[in-house]
Amino acid sequence: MKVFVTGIGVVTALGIGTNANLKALQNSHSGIRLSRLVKGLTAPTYVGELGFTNDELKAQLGIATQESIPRTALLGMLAAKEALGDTILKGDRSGFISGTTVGGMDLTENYFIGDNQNKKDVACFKTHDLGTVSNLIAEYCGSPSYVNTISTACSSSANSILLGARMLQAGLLDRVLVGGADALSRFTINGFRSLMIYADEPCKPFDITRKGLNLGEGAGYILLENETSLKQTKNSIKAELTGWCNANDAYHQTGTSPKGDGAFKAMRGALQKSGIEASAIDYLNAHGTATQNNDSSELNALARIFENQQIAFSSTKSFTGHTLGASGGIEAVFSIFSLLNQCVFPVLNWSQAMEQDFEKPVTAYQTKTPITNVMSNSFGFGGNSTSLIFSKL
Amino acid sequence: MSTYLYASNAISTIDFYAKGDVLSSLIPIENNRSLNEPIYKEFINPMLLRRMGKATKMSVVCALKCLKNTEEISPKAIIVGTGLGAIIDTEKFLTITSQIQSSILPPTSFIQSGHNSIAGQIALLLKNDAYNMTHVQQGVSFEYALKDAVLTVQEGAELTLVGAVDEHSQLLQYVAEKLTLEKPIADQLSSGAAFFSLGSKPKGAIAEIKSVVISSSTDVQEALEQELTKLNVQLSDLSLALIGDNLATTTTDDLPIKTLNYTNYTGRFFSSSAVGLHLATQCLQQNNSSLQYIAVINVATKNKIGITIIKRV
Repeated sequence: MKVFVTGIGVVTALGIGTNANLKALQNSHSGIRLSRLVKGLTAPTYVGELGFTNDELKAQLGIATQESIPRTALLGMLAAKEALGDTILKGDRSGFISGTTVGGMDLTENYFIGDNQNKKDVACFKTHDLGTVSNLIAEYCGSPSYVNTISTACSSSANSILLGARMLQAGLLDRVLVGGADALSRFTINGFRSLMIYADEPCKPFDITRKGLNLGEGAGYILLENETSLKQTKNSIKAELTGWCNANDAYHQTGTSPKGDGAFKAMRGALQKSGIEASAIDYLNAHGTATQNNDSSELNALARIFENQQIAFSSTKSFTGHTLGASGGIEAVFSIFSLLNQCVFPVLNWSQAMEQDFEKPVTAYQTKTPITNVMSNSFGFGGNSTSLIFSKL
Repeated sequence: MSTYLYASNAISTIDFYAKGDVLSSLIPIENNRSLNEPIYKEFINPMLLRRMGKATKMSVVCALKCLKNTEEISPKAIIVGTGLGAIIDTEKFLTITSQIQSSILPPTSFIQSGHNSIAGQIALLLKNDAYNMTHVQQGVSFEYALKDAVLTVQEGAELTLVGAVDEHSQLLQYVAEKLTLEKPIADQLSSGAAFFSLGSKPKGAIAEIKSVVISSSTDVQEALEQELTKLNVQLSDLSLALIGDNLATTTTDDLPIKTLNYTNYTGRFFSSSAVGLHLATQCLQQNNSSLQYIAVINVATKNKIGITIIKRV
């Protein structure tokens, strides 16, 4: 049974909506700059931040300012709304699966930096848990029966896409909105700082002088439908999701194996599911976080998968920052851009190749034909590794 | 295709390690909120154990015990459900970062705070490179994990490890009391973990999983009967219904069959129905037990009811 993509929606530091994001990608305009909105940071921090406050986002969504809604949910609602268009998710045959890592953390954090004990307001915990954030987005989309949240670190939304595809194939659902959302938070910025992998400059994926990642925020959702659903919605098909695989690196809690075993297994599995050879991949949107460990490990895995074949690859995290649980959803949308516009996006800030004897990343926007199959990689802490393949119909 | 359950293990306020009939020795949660825990270092390297959060070490031991009899096969999927994940480490890192204004912060609690650190740690210990997933959906996190597990079996997984866990913390207790949730919720807050191994072959199974569903009905009996009809089973054929209260409190006395409210003994936590399912498997395995069908009914919220039905093999 085929899994069709019929809607895409995206919000990143590049802007709200597919038009703004595509335009920035085509013009090599990065969204990474020093944070203006995250409160309580101890140092100037390069982030991929959407330049609207929560109140401004609420206004765009028609939500009253006084309503207590985490930023992750606001970003998610904007992207979900665009991906759905006129389609409403309702009833037993519709679902919503969202990937996230921080959920309502931006509001939770306020409890911990209250000036004094009396200021601490426990109400901010009401939206802390990830499931509550998904429920808020789901209510905005029509409240389907199946609402679920996947949290597998940086592969969260890639895995929500994978789960949605499996559920369609198993006949458990007819249509499902999948992807994910994550807002910037002090929690994650401090966390990646504590791991000494946060760059104090705009990130340089796949460059030998890379110094680490920049976090970003955003949301990316895609609407998956089977043929039964298409007959009802009459939505037009943008792409087909043909391959997916979830594997575990089983090497270290945070680091990835030097040869990229989890990444290799995920890519190989996705190719097998799709029924194509590695040579049929026309563009690869890599995980490419710009940490020493990820990029080295991923490049080794790419060398094992693509061997001596040419492969156009890049990391759009140099535009958006690493959006953690949202990255798989956002990069799925970018992969579909590649299919729809027959183009490949560059990696920014790149100047010098890494040690590996492998292809260099794409460094300038280019139209390239034909682009038939695009692979998207998402790897996370806990060894979680997922690859997806989107194909032109 | 049928899905069979081969092994199950839990850490709970209920003493599952005690000999004899588990149902006859239940202690109400109000009288005992401490967990019956194994000696963790008998299962986990002490070096590793020291850095492991509560939810992770509970899960690891339950998982390892489930796989004891199937050591020759490595799981083809590891799936975890959790409502709040590693909440203690999350609080710890939030506290550290609110107090230390330095650029050098200890990363351990951040690393452990990820919801997937539990499934990831199990994979790491088992050196397992297979499908690895973490479902986080409040009171139905376990049911969604279990549905995913059943799906992996249908897709051909020979052995799937699935479980759920949630940990209790002082802050959680404080927040529950302050938020003036329904009184019993704060009084019964607890923690627990339960894991299961599943597959498609009946050999060695202790039960068959007949049904896992999340109903949007607000009526327990209606939701249950709807599911039983699909299985062609009468309500009167159901030997026992184990009922749990999650974020809602139900009056379940009117079900015309034998019932037991398990959260009165496990306490309340988002994934308590996993321990409910373990209790169901223990009931099936009791000496002289003639139970056939058991339903675990998890009243997650007023209009979300998780129902898991198992049958003796």
